[in-house]
Amino acid sequence: MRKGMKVGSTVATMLLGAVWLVPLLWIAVTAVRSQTDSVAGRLFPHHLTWSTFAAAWHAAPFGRYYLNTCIIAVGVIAVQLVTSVLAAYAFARMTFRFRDTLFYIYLLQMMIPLSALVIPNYMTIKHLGALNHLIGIMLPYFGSALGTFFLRQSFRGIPIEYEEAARMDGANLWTIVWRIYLPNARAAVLSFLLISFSFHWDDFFWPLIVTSSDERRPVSVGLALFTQSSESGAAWQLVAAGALIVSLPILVVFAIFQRQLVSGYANGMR
Amino acid sequence: MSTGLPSRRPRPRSSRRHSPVTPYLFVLPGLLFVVVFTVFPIGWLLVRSLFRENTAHPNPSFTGLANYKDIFSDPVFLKSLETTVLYVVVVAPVSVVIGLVIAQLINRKGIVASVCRTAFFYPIVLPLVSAATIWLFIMTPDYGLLTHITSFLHLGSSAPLANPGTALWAIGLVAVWRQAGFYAIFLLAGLQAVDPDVESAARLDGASSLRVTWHIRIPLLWPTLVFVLTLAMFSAFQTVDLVYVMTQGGPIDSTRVMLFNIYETAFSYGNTGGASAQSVVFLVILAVIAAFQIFVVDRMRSEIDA
Repeated sequence: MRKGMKVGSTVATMLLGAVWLVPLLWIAVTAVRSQTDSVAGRLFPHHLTWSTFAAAWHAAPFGRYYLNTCIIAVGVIAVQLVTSVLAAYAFARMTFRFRDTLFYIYLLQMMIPLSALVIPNYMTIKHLGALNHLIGIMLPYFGSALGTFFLRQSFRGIPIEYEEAARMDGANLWTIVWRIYLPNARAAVLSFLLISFSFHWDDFFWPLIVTSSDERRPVSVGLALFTQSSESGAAWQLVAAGALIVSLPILVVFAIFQRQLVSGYANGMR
Repeated sequence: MSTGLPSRRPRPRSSRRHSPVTPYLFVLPGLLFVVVFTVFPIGWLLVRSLFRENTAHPNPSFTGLANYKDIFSDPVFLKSLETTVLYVVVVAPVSVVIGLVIAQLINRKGIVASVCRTAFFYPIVLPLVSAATIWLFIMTPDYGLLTHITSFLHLGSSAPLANPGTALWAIGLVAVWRQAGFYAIFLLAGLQAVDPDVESAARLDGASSLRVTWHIRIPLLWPTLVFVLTLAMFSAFQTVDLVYVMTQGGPIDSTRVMLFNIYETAFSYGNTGGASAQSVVFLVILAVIAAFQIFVVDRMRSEIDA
């Protein structure tokens, strides 16, 4: 009886898992399926072709999109790390007036999606003259409630004795924050980096609104416009290849760091 | 996202060996960006919602609550409100239930569970635009996988995104597929926290798996479930990217959710005043969900932790 249950749930897991994988497999099959197979309406290809990827890569400036996304992600994360580490230390280990109020203001950012504030933020970026510049995409993300929150949690778990010992040795506050706290919060930092990276690889609506030329668009926006322009021409093979080109890097990161990413979500957001 | 409100307990030892301005200097850089791009915009929207500013009146002029009066008699806005609420009320619970099923299925050791974990989790990191593109292609009338399947079953061609009755749910399906695994992460952590002794005691007493799930796991998991449900509501409520890529609000406005309507009101029709008033309504609803999370869910969870 128990054994039957076990087999049953194994089969159920495999079936549901297969359903979850179908979209990815379908897009992969579409991208590598040769023209003759698609025309014949064969679901499973007889001939594989890799030229679709090259064709898609050249049909839109994917190289440029990639570069933009990388600049945005790296730039944002670098600044976020500095602002978040400093704020997290203050919130975790210092006593000062308005501490809780300031922390609540920070948390507001976690509650309110940027996509609900695009109108005023568009105006701000316009006033700063940063419309259609990568810096205009990046600016709203430079302060990170999530990063501050993650690191604050982690910093509070670090024994205060470490800090006191360093002080005895004559370390100043700056050294303590960057040499004691940051290295001891490695797990939280890694989780935060992964979450922030996947967020910026994914981010679509805000960059869509502040960019107006291909030279400044990230992969997400580039792919959406590529899909829209190719959909009408039924160039689905190219679209499929484009979708894979955009997804592959983040899927590779996921394959390597799945465990850390998952535990980051599970622990950090409780 | 938990708010993690600062605890009131006095810290055992606090390091007061810094100048009194240091904490503010530490907090300031990040706070500056949060204030400019989160706090200021809320105020801006509140103020601008009281001003008339559109293509016919390019210079803002004070009109009191006229924008609110206008939007609440505007059938397109009211429809977008209704569509959004309907979407949240259906998609959020469905995602959580599927997430729970996934969590149950992968909550064990072995190769099958660990391979399937990857299958359930990869859509979380798959870029949303890629996911939308993939599903757009699955649901495309002539070449789509869905048509392959329905014509194989002799049901004819199917184009759920072209039909006003099904388009919203086609988008919801993509959202569920993409997020159920994310919610499963939290639910799995909750399941694994259930004391195995309680379960085996119940089993020894002859309780079936289903009964164990229903009477033991679900009640112990309740705080996590409600928490995940609020996450799912937040997420469903802010849907706009999927709509932008998959339907552009159509067909016949059937997928015109609030944020998409706000975006078009401001950027396509140039009605900043109306879009601001709509945004304020959006933020008020968001605040209600947030209040529910802070005052009900977080309290429930901290009671469990204590």
